[in-house]
Amino acid sequence: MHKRLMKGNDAAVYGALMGGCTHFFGYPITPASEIAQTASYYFRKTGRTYLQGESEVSVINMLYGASSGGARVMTASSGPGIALMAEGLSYLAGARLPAVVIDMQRAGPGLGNIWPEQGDYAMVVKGGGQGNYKNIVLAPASAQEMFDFTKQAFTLAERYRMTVFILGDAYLGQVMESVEISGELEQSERKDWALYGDKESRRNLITSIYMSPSDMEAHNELLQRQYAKVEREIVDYSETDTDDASLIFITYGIVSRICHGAVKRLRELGLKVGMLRLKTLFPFPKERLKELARKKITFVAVELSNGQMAEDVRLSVDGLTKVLSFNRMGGEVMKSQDLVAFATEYLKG
Amino acid sequence: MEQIKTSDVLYEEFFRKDGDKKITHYCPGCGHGTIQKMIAQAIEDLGIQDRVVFLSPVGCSVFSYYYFDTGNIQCSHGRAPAVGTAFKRVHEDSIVISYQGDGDLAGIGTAEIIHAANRGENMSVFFINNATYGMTGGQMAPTTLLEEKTLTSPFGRDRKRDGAPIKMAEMIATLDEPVLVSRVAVSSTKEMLKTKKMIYKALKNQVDNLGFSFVEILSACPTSWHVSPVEARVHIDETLSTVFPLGTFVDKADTVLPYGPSLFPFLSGEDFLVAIVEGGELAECEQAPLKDELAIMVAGFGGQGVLSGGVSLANAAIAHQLQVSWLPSYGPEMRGGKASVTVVMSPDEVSSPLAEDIDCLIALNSPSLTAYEHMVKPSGTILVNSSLIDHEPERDDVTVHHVPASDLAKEAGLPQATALVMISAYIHYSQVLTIDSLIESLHLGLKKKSLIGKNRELILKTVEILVSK
Amino acid sequence: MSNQVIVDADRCKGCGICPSVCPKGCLRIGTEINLQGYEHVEVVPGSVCIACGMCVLACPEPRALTIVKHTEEEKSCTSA
Repeated sequence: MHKRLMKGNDAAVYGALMGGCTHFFGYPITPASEIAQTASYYFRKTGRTYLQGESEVSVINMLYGASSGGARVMTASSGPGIALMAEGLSYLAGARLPAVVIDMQRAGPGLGNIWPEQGDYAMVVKGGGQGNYKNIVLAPASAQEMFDFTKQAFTLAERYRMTVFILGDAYLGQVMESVEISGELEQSERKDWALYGDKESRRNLITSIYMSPSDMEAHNELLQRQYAKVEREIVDYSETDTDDASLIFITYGIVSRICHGAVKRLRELGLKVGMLRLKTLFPFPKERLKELARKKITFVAVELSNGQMAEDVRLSVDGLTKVLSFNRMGGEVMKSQDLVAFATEYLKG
Repeated sequence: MEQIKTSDVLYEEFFRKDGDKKITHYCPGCGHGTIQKMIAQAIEDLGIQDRVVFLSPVGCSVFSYYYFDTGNIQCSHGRAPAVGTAFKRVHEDSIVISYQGDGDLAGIGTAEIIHAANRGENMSVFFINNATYGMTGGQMAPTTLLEEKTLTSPFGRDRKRDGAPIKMAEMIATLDEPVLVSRVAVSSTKEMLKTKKMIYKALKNQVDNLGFSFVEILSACPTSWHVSPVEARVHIDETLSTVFPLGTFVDKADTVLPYGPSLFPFLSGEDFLVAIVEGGELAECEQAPLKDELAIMVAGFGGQGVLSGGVSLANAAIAHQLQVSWLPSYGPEMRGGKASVTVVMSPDEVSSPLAEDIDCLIALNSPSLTAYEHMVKPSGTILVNSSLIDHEPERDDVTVHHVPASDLAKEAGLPQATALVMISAYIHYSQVLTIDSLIESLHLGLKKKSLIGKNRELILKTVEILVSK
Repeated sequence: MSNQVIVDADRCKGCGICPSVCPKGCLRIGTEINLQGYEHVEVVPGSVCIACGMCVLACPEPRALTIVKHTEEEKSCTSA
């Protein structure tokens, strides 16, 4: 076990290496560039592959190609780049190819700016490209989790033959924290569906085209069954002080750190406030939210977007309780004292 | 007795679900069938069937996997060269065939083909130029001839508005890396024999690890051209090849060196860990006597060692078994020469790295003091770099220490260690961490390892002066 | 015994390319209609195939045409 002070962006590279990733395809974009930079050094140095594509469009298709060959593959980008990858992500889903993609979100729309936002939630969590597909979406909240979640992402991607997103943000990439490089170096096993340029795999076909509507529907149904399995098996979240809470912050990523500070302060003030932090955005912890909603606890969806996650919270609770939104956008980040004031006013007012 | 027949690299029967199993999905007289039979034959002749991975992007050839008893990857429109690039990086011994049409390669996928060619990817590209979008029913392609009427150039291709037919082979021939760039045609007997040879050569180059081979093949689309199959092949010789001249533009097969092995061997086990964990070990010290989170902001300007000083402080805190976060000022803020970093340390998980109020401000210059002193908590601390700041903080509810940091750093010949002097002072006054841990952490924060000794002396001198005060 | 062009009629789309490349006029589009509804190619009776292979090379359809080539030896044996 090795412990190091490192940036969230660098931690992702260590996580990838320890997760058995052998092929990184990159294209620079602030605030994710350090991931490509660090990967270009360590992937090549350890005999793995780093290659810089000519565009994000090219990069996502490189993931498609390398994943077809059974390799553990990844890239990292930010909103504008992820948007360009939409078609390729859909192809990956259609062809059921595992891949890991990191989105260090910046503010949008358009060129926006390079400050943190969570405005890519809908694009990433709902799929992003054409067709009925989903990505597994993990939401780290610390440099350690940038390592842990990225490492774990490769196992999940292969288990479910899906793209796993790490949805971070500009701050999470820039912050340095101590990170434990732990666990075993993972390795990819030979897959019965992949191509290896040999006799045994020769008749394998990587495709997402099914000309007959009945075949295409069957394929879609297969994908939906897989997504349902993912929902049953890997939903993950953590709770703080929810047992007796009358108000709960629902949050993810860097914002959950801010909420954590707010909950601490609110408890000191004697207010029954808790928080639920999503670690997986798809699957979404619908059942748990519904359970809490039945207790008539007020939810406040706290996020750096126009309420994209809040919509999923509302869908989950299906009208059972009130869901408020606390949003900042454009690179502005709420302060924990703002949340303290909001909750205090709500609970006392 | 011998037979002249179709290569067995093509399936005997095609596994198309709703279609016929004995005939292709191509229209009568289409050039694709002829070309694909030639490719199959070359694969057979080279004995590489098991190694071949055939890429079929969107276009009429999207269903090539019906026919080729090889590995098959169906790709998105225009992106086969990117897919092939990556596949080849995974399986260097595979033989990657990128089979692309003109809408695909010369239209939507120009970036991918140019860059794959420019990287000299060891793959064989067959570019089927029939001057039309066949699969979507005959729209104008980048290679459509001038004046030609198509579904999207109903008045004929207009040079002023639609541009001229694009000559891909000539473009690719301008690059340094390709080994073979040629244009051939599936038209007359003579041209077909040349085409067959060129296809073989493009694959042979890949087998020999020579690099990127590009063969543009003028091919008939009788359906979109509205002529009979036989007339279509005549049209290639009489018209198409006057716009797209046949010939070999690049052939370096006899002069290039084959690909060698990677410079870096694939590491695993302990070698791998050693390679990725560089820079030496973290110091280990006693658990620091800290009950709550503590936020320290170091602020000044570029060149004072703000960020690296912060790293040393954070590493010293880790050495004392604290959790830390280090968040620099970011983006445009840094462009103006300002530099600041906030280090939060905590006995357990740091709640937010974005400290809203801070326990200690280390102000390295006057603007930083003015800008950030309001953030200091009541009864917090402000450390003032008295070498550069000639005014007092406005706050009267905080403890203020003055340290002539720039002078000390300059004297030591280390102006870039100004922040480190202040951090030493902070540790001296706050007693949360130890000077030893700071010294033991220097190697993790300094890029120039040769300066560790001088930095250590500077830290010790700073403490000596503060003690004597 | 001469060389033989074997036509798999159900694999032919009657495009007419093979007759256009055959230097000996061995092939022609016939009047019979195959399973796919094409008037397919047929061997001209009495024609002499030199097994040059151009028809097989030019034909767009896999396995529609096959040439059975007899070596000089075989030819002389059978004619003897």
